[in-house]
Amino acid sequence: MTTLAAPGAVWEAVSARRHALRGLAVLRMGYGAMVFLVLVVNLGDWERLWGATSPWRPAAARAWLEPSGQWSVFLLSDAPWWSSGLLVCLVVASVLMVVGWRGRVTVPAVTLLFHGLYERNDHIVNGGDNLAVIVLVYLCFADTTAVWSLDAERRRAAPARARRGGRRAQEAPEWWTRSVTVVHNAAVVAVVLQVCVVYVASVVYKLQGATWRDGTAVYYAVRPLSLNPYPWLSRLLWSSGALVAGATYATLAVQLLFPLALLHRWTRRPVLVASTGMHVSIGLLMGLPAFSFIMIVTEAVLVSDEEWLSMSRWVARAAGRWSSQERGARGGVPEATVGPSGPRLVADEVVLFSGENTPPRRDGRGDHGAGPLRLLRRRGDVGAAVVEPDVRAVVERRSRADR
Amino acid sequence: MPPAVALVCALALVGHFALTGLFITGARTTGPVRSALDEYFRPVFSQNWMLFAPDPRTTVVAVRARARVTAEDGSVTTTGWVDLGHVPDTSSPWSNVEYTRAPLLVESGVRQLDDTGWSLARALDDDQSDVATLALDPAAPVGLVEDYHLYADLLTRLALETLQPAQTRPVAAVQLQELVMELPSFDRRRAPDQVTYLRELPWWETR
Repeated sequence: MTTLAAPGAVWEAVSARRHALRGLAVLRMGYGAMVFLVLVVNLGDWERLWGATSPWRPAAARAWLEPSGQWSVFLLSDAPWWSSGLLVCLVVASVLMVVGWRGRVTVPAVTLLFHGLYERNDHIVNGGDNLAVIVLVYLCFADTTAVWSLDAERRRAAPARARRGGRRAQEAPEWWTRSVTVVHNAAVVAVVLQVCVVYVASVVYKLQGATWRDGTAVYYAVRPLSLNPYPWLSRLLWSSGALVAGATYATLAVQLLFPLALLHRWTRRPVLVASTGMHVSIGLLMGLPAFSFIMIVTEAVLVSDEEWLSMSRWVARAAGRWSSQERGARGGVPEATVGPSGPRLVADEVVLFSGENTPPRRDGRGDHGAGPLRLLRRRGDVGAAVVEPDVRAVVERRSRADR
Repeated sequence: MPPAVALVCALALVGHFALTGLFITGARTTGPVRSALDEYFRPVFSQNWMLFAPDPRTTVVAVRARARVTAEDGSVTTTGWVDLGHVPDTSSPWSNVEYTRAPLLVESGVRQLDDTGWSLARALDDDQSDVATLALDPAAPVGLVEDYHLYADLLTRLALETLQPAQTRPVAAVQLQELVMELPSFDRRRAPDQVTYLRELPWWETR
């Protein structure tokens, strides 16, 4: 990617390209879905859990929160219509967040309301909710609807609409675009660091426990009947000493090595697979689906845009609905910053444009909608890039000298 | 302009995560630094990552309640024990999944009450008396006594929800009982779950 010897390239990576756009789109959809499911699954218990007549009375919750400076938007009024109204708003906002409608408004709305829900009754929350509250705050600063969203669809249609209306598509000034990009990338870093904090803190606490050190902790975690959807499955695990010890030490290893493993692709992919496997096991063996779901979804930020693209291509091909039209429409979402007036590409990136679409012009009046088919961040020459045979690709390569 | 934004972002990231480290590692500390950290983290960024740590719980707690009802002629009757909340059930894969949150309210209320009881016992150096007696001690820390009343009130209301519908007269008082099932240790893992002890809480008047 970039080297320390090239501060210009570093600056481009920080301010010219919004990273993890697909990963954050997955986070947005996943978090929205989690909030929606929590509310819908508990529909019959809304009043008991978060309402004005809950056994955990608003006055009790306030007395519990206030000494430590905590608050909840649900506790601003004791009127039943207030809490019920907020719950309805949260359901609506979570659906809008999943479909990516006005992300810059709906994501903060879900953040505020879900934080309120979390604090209103913290007897019924888990570590996944805790992570979600924090990461949602970071997501407020990120561009979560650049791809796979209604916002993206609308932006794609905007230039055509503007032309019809006899107006020119309005472009934000470059300093603004770059600033938004910088803040977005900082939010991405914050999400990644937060995940690392969770794993490192959790493994440091675990290492203080005798059962984690002697390799039996997983037995105590999966044995209880109270949260255990498949007792026969967990019995299969806990009746074998070798499996229990293996699972216990594997858990410690994954959490301990997680931050280090992120530093290189060769270790990042295996550790992501391993931690996803760990959370799937927790979901299956310990009956904590919401917790597992949030942990897995949050790690989506660590899968790069290129990996998401090749995965979605693979899925689409496997599903047998891979046509060049669709590729133009769906796969070819332009990177937000690779716009005509936007900052240029970093030196060793190769960009493919679909045959129908001309490359963005440099006079700042190009068509935003028909951008690069996809962005391959590869070193070297064009031969290294995989070009689909049925695409008449226009290959543009910008050298350092070009800039 | 963008470089200034980048500088602010970088400082914010470094500062926030350095403080996050301090907030997590210094959870047991006190003093002005701690208060400042709490002020920053508590409202939104409060976090605790003791996930199954330092050790997973080795106990499962089931909670039962009974009611005391005064009849019109003044005679007092006591109902039988009724289960509150979640009772493990192996008949369906869906029954033991945490997909609804309501059962957690009872479990959390009881565990918090127990924790408060232990904190009171530590503070008063008295591990003989029950939690209600400890809460009446004038030397008990005010915060813990307040917590006791919050959780007692929560559990009374939860018990009433279950017990009151079966009664024609208002319930005068409720009592809770904890069945604490200790998992067999790993070496004896083929043994069945055992009910190791039963803890009875005091009668609580329903105001």
